[in-house]
Amino acid sequence: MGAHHPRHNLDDALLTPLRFSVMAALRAEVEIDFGTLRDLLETDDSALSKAIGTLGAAGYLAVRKGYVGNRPRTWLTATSAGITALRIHVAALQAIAAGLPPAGGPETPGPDHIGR
Amino acid sequence: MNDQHSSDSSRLSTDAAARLLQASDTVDDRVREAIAARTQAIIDAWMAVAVVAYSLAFAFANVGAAAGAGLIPGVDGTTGEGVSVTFLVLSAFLAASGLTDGLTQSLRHPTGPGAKRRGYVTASLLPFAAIAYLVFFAPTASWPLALMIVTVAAAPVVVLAIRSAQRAKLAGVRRPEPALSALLDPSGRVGTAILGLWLGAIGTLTAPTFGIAGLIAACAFFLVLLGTRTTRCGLDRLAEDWGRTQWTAFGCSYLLVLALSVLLARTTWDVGVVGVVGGILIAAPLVFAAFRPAPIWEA
Repeated sequence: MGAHHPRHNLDDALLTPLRFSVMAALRAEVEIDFGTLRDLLETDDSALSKAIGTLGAAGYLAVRKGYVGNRPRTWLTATSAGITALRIHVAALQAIAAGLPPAGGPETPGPDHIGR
Repeated sequence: MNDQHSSDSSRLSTDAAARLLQASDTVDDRVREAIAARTQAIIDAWMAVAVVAYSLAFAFANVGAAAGAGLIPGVDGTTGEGVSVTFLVLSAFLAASGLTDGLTQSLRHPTGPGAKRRGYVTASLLPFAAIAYLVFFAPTASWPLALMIVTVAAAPVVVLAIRSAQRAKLAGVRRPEPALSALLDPSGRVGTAILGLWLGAIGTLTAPTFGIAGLIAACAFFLVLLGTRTTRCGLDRLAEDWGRTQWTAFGCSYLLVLALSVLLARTTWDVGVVGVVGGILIAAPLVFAAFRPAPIWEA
């Protein structure tokens, strides 16, 4: 069997622009507050909550509740599984954008092989 | 931005993939700008503390000084006993400036010369202007007046320090505790230890027992700072590698330098012993921190 198309390495959990952007924002080893992330991504609370729910269920991000002074804050961080999944997804997108198969070819694990 | 499927994975076009990648880079840039803004706020807050500490050292060293005695660290620090703390205090302050400049430059989106930035710089210079005024125009000012002038001049930078600290505290993007840490690379370890030992040596040699050795050590320190600037051995490079432990150690050494300058100018103890003990205390935190791990950030 020859090299498969890079689309097979795309991760279903990252297929919407918002979910992909959430993970892109969190990949820089940062912890981002819900409100700040909403502003950075120019979205609204409900859409972001839905995206976070999906990514959380996939095990790609962790949610931590905390306080700054008396104000409650929800902090989000990417898990190592999420960062790995994002890397594979981005590599697949790059391959698609370049019109080339991914460097890893058929040996690159697909999204089904990523721990969720 | 909506949480809707723009296309199925099997129909993702080349253009759509390129657009998603571009959007990802834009988000990444925004996050890094937010991190840089928070880091800059932390730098501003601590640098303001450093300026205020310097000013207070000046004021305390002046307390009870006889008219014209010149107990002014960093500007005109020669007492009747011949203790010159000018270069000692200047060494610590220049080291602090070099380190924070390096950290600022390492930010991916360093803060530009905006109106707020100019305000911060002006406020930081006010205490120095007050010290210069006292030295050149009112050298015989009484200590309450000198203390009052310095305190008033330092007030704006104190306000800015508090605002910067609040801005950093309320920032919605922050780095969590690092997952990975390791010892500094060999040049980082050597550089950190040498910085501590050199500041300690300047502190020790500033005591009159050692003649002009303190002045020579300080001048050599300034030349090395200047010569290694922007090189891999420079303080600016060192600042990029440091973690919280190393910065805390430097803060301790900085405050100890100021304390030693006041003590050397004011004490009735044996200044030789004070200098040696002070020098050891100044060097110890940085030498210890040189061999402590610092965080490793992947991005």
